[in-house]
Amino acid sequence: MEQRYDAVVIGAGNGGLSAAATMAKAGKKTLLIEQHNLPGGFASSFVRGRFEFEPSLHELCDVGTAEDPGDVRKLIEQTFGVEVEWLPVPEAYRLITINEGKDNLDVVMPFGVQEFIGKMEEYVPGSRPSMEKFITLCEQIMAALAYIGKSGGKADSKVLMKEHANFLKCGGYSVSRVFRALHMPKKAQRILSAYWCYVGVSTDRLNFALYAAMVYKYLTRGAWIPKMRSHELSAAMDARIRSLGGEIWYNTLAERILTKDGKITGVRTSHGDVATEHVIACCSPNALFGDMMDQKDVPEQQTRMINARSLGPRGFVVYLGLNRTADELGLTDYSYFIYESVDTVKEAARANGFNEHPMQATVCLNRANPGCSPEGTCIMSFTTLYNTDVWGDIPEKEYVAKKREVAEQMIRDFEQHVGVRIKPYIEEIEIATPVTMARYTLNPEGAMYAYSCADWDTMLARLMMLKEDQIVPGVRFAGGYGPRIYGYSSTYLNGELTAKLTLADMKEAGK
Amino acid sequence: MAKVKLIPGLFALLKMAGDRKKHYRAADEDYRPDPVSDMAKRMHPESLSLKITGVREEVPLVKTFRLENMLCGPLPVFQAGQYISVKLKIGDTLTARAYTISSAPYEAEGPDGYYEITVREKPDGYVSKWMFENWKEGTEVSATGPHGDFYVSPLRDTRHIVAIAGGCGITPFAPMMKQFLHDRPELSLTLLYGCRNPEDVLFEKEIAAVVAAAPERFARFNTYEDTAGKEGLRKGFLDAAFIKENVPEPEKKTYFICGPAIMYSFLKKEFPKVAALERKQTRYEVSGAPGDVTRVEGYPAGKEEGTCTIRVWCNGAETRIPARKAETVLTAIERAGLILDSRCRSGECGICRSQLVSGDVFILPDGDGRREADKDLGFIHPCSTYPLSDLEVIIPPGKAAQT
Repeated sequence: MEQRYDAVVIGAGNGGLSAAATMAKAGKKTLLIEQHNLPGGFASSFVRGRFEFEPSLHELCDVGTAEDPGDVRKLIEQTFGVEVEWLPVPEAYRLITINEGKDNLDVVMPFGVQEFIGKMEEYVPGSRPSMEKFITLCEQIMAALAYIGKSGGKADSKVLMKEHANFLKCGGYSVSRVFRALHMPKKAQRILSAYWCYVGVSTDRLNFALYAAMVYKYLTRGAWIPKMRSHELSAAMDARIRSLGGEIWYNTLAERILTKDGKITGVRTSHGDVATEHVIACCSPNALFGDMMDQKDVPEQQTRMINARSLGPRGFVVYLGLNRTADELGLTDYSYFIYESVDTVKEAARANGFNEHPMQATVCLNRANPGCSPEGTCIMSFTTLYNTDVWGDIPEKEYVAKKREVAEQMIRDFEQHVGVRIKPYIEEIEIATPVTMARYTLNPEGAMYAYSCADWDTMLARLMMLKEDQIVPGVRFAGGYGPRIYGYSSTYLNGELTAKLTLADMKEAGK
Repeated sequence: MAKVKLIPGLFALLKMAGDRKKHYRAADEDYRPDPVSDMAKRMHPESLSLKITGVREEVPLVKTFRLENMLCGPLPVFQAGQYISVKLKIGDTLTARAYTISSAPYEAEGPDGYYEITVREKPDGYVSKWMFENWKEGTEVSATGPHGDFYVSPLRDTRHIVAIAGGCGITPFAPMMKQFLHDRPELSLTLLYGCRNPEDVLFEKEIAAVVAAAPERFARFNTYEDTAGKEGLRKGFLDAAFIKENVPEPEKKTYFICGPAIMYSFLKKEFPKVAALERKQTRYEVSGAPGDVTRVEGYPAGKEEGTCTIRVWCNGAETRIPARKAETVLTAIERAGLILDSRCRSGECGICRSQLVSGDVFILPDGDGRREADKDLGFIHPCSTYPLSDLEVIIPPGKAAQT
């Protein structure tokens, strides 16, 4: 007799962990299955020599302090009861542009609203009024998003008109469009656009409400990382789910979604069939509907919905364990954005293929986490993005040489523009390409940002159209494919939201 | 907000919803190809189905097995120095062993490509004995890989590599030399090779051919425990003096070292006599479980005697198994006929990662590749962990494709 579960969660990435914890806490018999032998998906760690590297996290948004917690800390600590040692990231970012001639930027921006505005005024005299307007607008957007989030896809347009008029005015526009409307000086716009690569969408296609919410959360709550890499958080979530009575099967692949008369009846796993009517998927809809289901059970509309989307960026990361300290090397900052320019349209276009100076978001982990590596050493990671499947075109024989070539370009650019020497001190090096990420996470094309949230498919649209987007009953998507889009913080929140919607589905079915 | 008005703003917001439907209608019904995932599957298949197509004796007690792909298509590419993990079913025991690919990457290319592994039959080694008896031409072999980090990385290492091999530890260096000669003109290599006696030298012909083909880039120096009375051979340890004799500017080299654990502890004392080297300049291949764990530094005296019981949990099912204290937790689990996937069997890769619920263990100091949080939460890598008392552990199930 096969085992029966109230819900089966596929994939122990952030969204899956969060969904499984929510279900288990609600007293539902929950099974979480994961193809790997450990939890986390992208939120993990790996060891090389005497270094333990962080695979993907730069910084978590919306954590905040213990006294004034943000949504993510509240969810993890208060809702789930998971203890993690959080470390604050010291500054917002250092932004360097290298191909804008006399307009090249090299600025360091702090956290804190007043600090940020003050620093901006220093770099861009006269920017204060527009920055203040921007912050006010951010606050109004936060309030509107909180309302829409709570409404579960049933936002009342009258309430929106009455109480969130400014949100309605700008919520449908791009970042570039609203910046212009705020009469923000060009240079301030450029500095304020630096975070665009965290979403991977150029500012002319990036929804303003989404970007404003992200920037505002960073400025007001700072950014945080778990002390023992993301694995600390993932492993603590794993332990908590099990203590709440949830089951987790590792090394277990979801092979097939079982159906009868078009209704979901279970999941065929590599370790046997389990019965359930509710699947929460922390994997791509491409995999679930394309590979795991009988095509006759997949409505045409669902396939169209998948194909209408384009994938978000595929990541490329160089990890270095260095045998000198950050001080010795002259690495003064935690987070470096190095772009050819802050013309994000051009930058996004460059990411369609290989180019000589890949944009980079680079981290010196020790600046937030001094004890993350042995004494006398430090850890760096260099990330760039690709907006196409260009890594799939490399002949396998040339693959290793190509990844070394890109890694070397990025290290060289960093050395040149930050004015430091890195290469002689490399004790350990690992390079992850989209192929690596496809291998470990099974995401289509190795995409680490799920479906791009550009234009019409922004978080706002997904949240407001939750009902319309739900086509196959019994299946919901946590993780980066969920309504609150991708990124570490979003995926935890997606997991909880998806589980709550599933709990509502169960209640509905029980009526 | 002068330029942004409520009505056009609302319109923009509603347009998102309309656009959404428009995009759905316009989209294809067929799934798009995914070359990146296809490449990931070709380069890192879940498992390898191989067939032995040749067996040759290198020297007495050492055999090389040639393995070819049973499935159509070429073998996954690899880097010289990497290994495959061979899955073995001996009686009721499912186990695995890591073997360096002793052939060169270019020899794996194309439809006729192959991997070779070179195995020494150990007098008390039940796996190598079994392989020597059972592995013949035509035998089918299941494996995973290629895996491993013991390869030259040009961004990290010097262009002139010094390879130090002890006995069978030559296996990663023969493919490195052959591959460097084949298509890495920027790299050169000096091999320092310690052998028991002249009859024990492996890959003599292949290595001599590489050196002869490019003597300005490759050199090879042997030293023997016993020269068997032959003239002109160096007798003695692979020590600081031997390194200094044969390596110009020894402070400016990266050393790749592969051999028995006893050679590693000896060399760690010798290197300071050679030059003031940075830690990054000496790279040791992992060396598997030691012959006698009780002699490893740090092993608690008085704990080594006897047996104990391990309660093993897997997906909610419990099994009680006997264990010998001198053997790893992984070996005890395999001996009991349970499945626990493993790969490096040296504590490094973490594939056998399991949770220790209770009990005392000894973890090899050089084989503790655990994540920091795992140490806090009581996880172990059973391949480098020895029981000191009765234990309770939670293991993951085996990956179906591999077991």
